[in-house]
Amino acid sequence: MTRLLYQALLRMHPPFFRREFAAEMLWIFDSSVDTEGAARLFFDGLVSLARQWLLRSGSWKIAVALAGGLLQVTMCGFGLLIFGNQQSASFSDTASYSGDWVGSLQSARAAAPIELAVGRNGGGWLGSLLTTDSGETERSDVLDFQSQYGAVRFRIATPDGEMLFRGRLSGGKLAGTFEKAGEGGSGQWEVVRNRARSAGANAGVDDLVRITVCLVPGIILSVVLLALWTRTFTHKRIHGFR
Amino acid sequence: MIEDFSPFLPLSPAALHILLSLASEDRHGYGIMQEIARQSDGRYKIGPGTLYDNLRKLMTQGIVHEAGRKPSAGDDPRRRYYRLAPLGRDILGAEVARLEIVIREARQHLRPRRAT
Repeated sequence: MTRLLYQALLRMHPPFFRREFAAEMLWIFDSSVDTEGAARLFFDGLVSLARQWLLRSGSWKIAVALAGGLLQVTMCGFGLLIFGNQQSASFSDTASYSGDWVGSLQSARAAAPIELAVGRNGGGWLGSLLTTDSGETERSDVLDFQSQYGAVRFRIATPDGEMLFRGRLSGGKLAGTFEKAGEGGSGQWEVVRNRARSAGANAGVDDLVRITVCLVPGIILSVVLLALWTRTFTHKRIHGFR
Repeated sequence: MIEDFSPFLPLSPAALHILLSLASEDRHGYGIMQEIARQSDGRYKIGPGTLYDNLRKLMTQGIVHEAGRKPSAGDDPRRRYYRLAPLGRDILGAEVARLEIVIREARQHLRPRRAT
């Protein structure tokens, strides 16, 4: 029974090692199991198994790559958790939101997207609508911003008249309708890009910073890990037989 | 010409004992293990995993060769014999010389001090 187990242990070694030495190791097991004890030989076999796969077969490179990838994914996950939560929380609960919101509204009828910026002003909300249809930037104030149970409603005072927006915040996205008073015309507008800016420590976080925060720590950790592994491996190759 | 063996030194305890066990004659794996135990009065023993890991590295570097010797009539056919290569003998000599310096230094510093 112990012989079969030891044989199985030898079969688990990398092929290059198994082909060359497995038969001899089994012979030594047969010859010395009574004097050395099966436990000691099994322990030696297990250490050998780990050593051959992790250090001698080059699998350590795969391990480093996996560890680096895992770190990368973890850091991105943390990034999404931090920034994603901040964004969706601000959209789903505007009452507790204290930063600015910048959105890009797109309509099939409009040639250029409209930038909408909304931010807290004391107890209320203030913002502006920037249109670039005519090639000039036209700035309009957002007035009377109201939000309740995900429904958003505000007015925009443009030089041509007042527009009323009614929409919903859902899953971090804003969708709704603009109606222009007096003309009876309306257009469907959809938020194609959302960006929340907290007034606190994360103020001014843009995409570049977000990517940097998510990826750079993972990359640095991967490089450090690789350097440590490489140093160990090179040291072993030069000095030989530790 | 003095050869520089510094890339190979210092040898690990396992490698040193393997080379020492092969210095006097060709041996098979189990024979090497037994000789190592004998040399150290049973205080240092290596298992087959450690032995063949070291043997593989030593053979890759040309320090040990597989001897062409065939197992004799009563021998197990799985036995293979290993021989110390000339390079291995030089490295072993360099390691012993290095250890002699270490021992001399150690003796000098560990000499009992006289009370002042």
